[in-house]
Amino acid sequence: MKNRLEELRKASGLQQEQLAEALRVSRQTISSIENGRYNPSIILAFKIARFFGKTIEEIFIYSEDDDA
Amino acid sequence: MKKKKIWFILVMALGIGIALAGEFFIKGEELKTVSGLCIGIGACLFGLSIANLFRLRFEQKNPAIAKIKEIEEKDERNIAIRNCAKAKAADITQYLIILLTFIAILLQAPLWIVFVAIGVYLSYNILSLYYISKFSKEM
Repeated sequence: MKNRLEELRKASGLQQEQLAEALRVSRQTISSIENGRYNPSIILAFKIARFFGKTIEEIFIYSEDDDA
Repeated sequence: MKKKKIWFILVMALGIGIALAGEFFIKGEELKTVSGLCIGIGACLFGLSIANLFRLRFEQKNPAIAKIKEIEEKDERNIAIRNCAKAKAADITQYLIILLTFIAILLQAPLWIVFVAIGVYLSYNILSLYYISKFSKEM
């Protein structure tokens, strides 16, 4: 699933490590989400959305291709 | 942390107790295997507890490293990876057990070995069905 996490993180001036620490996940998890290799759980998606003050839909972009 | 420390100290004491019992109290030629088993289990429990006590001490002295370790352990992606790896390993083990059963039959091994291998294979499948049913109800 595509997302705007990297864009939002960079706009906030944060390193992956800093975001990971704030969300209490590993840096690799942030990296994997940014690369679209890993889709976060709904709880982590909410945590990310709340951290940036956005809705989940504003961060994670769902398309029909993601079903495959 | 304190509870864990007490737990490991108790396990360590139990390990020492079992090993000492194996060495000094379980005597006789017919109980040689039991004695050896007790020493082995005791030493294993002792080693495991000592290692964990050192780990707890290290974590107490290095809270920053302990925090990173805790995050790594609880990280949802790491948990998902671990679960996938366990499931894959269990699937492969299942095929290895089938292979082992056939090898035992081909080598004309004692029948109990074949039955044990079949028993392990059946246990895997029964446990799989049990957990599918359990998780289906929970999720």
